[in-house]
Amino acid sequence: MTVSGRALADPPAGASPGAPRPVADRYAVRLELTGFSARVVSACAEVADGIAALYPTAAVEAPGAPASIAPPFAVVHGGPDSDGPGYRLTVHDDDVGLFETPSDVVAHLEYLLNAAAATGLGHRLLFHAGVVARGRSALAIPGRSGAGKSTLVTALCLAGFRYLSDELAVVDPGTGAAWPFLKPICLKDGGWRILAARFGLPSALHAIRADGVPVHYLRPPRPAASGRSVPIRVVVLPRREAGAEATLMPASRVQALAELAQHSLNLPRHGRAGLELLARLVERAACYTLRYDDLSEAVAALADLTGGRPSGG
Amino acid sequence: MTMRPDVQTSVPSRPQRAARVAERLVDGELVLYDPLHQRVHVLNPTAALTWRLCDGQHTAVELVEALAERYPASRAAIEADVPRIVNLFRAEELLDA
Repeated sequence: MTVSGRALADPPAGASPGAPRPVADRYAVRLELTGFSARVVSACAEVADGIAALYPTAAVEAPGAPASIAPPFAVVHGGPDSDGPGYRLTVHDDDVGLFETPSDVVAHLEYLLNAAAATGLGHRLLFHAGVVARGRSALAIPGRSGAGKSTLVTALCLAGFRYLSDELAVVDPGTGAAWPFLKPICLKDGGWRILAARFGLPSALHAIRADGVPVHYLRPPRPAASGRSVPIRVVVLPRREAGAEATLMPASRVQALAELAQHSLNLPRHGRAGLELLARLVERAACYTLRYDDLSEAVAALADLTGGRPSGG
Repeated sequence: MTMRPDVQTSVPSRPQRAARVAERLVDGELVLYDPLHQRVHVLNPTAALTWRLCDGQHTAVELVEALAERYPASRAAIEADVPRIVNLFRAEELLDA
């Protein structure tokens, strides 16, 4: 798939979510994301294949497979054989919109699938962070959207770290360990250009994300032990600065705690227990500030910090 | 001790920590988390002592006396700091109304 456009239209006003639609179930794909299971049914093979190409846990159902009793998460109508233009996406029978190309649908579905999975994880502590692992130690890199987390995480994975997430840390409130959240890696154009030039990465999908930002998606590798949580032993506070030599400086635990709290998605839900969890997390972890400009230098610094360059995870 | 009249009138008579605010000592620093406003506050030692005394029992004058008893050489600074700190707590809505 290649570059695509935006959604052609919003859901029609007054659309009846409950109105029965003929379900085109020629193509279906299932995936699992940190306890969240979903099935997407599509009249168009490219949508099912596109989702399968992005999620390491996704599997396309064989044609003629027995129909599922559970209603699908999403249904996509339209395609080359349909009468009307575009592709109509519905999620749990709610009309999401009409899209121009299959890649538009896949990009929008990727956002909706991740959001639905995260919604079901409210009992865990969630914060915006890239998370990678080496051995039985996870390294969390909290930061706002656009801070370069996905680019750094991708470079670390190319250097042999295991991928847990490029955006969402899912922390077990009992143990403080991070669970894998194997969403597709999502790179904005700037990060993509750096990585493509240096590593020749193939893009699984180039599309306009649901929020209108053009992005490249990469399918993350599926770790051998994808279901296991990994204790967070290192917290890195990234500071991208033009011309800065990559430098790791010890950060105070209080500073690390404050940044984790700042990037939390659901700390209020956890209240006192959430503060206690963050405090225990930073007390068990080594906390650093990473100033860097060059990506390779940053990766080398973090590899040295965690015991030298990994040899492939 | 005496307090400036304008400060005395602006400080709550018996400041009380809001029950929702969580606190935790991390590496010797007192960290507050306010889930209502989703804010983390890190208190310096004077502010931490003041916070601990905001129990709804001590008046503003008694807060100053308690702190000055602990740090007699710093009474003048305490007299200036405590009202300011309590007002900051109030401005951040960390105290019960």
